[in-house]
Amino acid sequence: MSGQLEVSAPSRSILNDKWDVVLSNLVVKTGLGFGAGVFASVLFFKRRAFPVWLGVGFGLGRGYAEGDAIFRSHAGLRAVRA
Amino acid sequence: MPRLLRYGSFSVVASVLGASYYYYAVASPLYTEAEWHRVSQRTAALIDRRIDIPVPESTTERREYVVRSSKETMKDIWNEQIRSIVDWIYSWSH
Repeated sequence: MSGQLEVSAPSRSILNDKWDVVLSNLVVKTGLGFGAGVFASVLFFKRRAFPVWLGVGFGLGRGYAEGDAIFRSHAGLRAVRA
Repeated sequence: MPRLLRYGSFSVVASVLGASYYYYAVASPLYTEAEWHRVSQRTAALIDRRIDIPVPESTTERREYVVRSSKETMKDIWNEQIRSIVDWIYSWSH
């Protein structure tokens, strides 16, 4: 019979914390890009669609770049002083 | 569209946008309390190494493990649900 092992360990791992930051930042930056695109489209481009797609693209790209920087950083890693 | 109406609508939209920007960003920077700003600042601080993601404490001390079968756990969950449903039904008469 397979036993269930209950350990009083913290429920969240470091991967989830990083993913939480990266995904929320991606959503925020994409939303900002979308908003800026709508703003530019209405004010300057006679409600054409391409500024919105451009803004969304900028937002996604910035979110990806910052997420990449966070995943490459040492944030959240356990450090030991020797 | 008459020229006067066009100028009028442009000035109304421009003044609304300007007033919104002034009160949201200059007079009392309300955007600093927004969630998107908080997320953005936290991400920038993480990349610049000004803050860190908290790491849970690890220990080498002895720990107590509770080993139970999945069957017993499922029985407990089932019984708890049955009890709560019965309590809910009995609560109708009170």
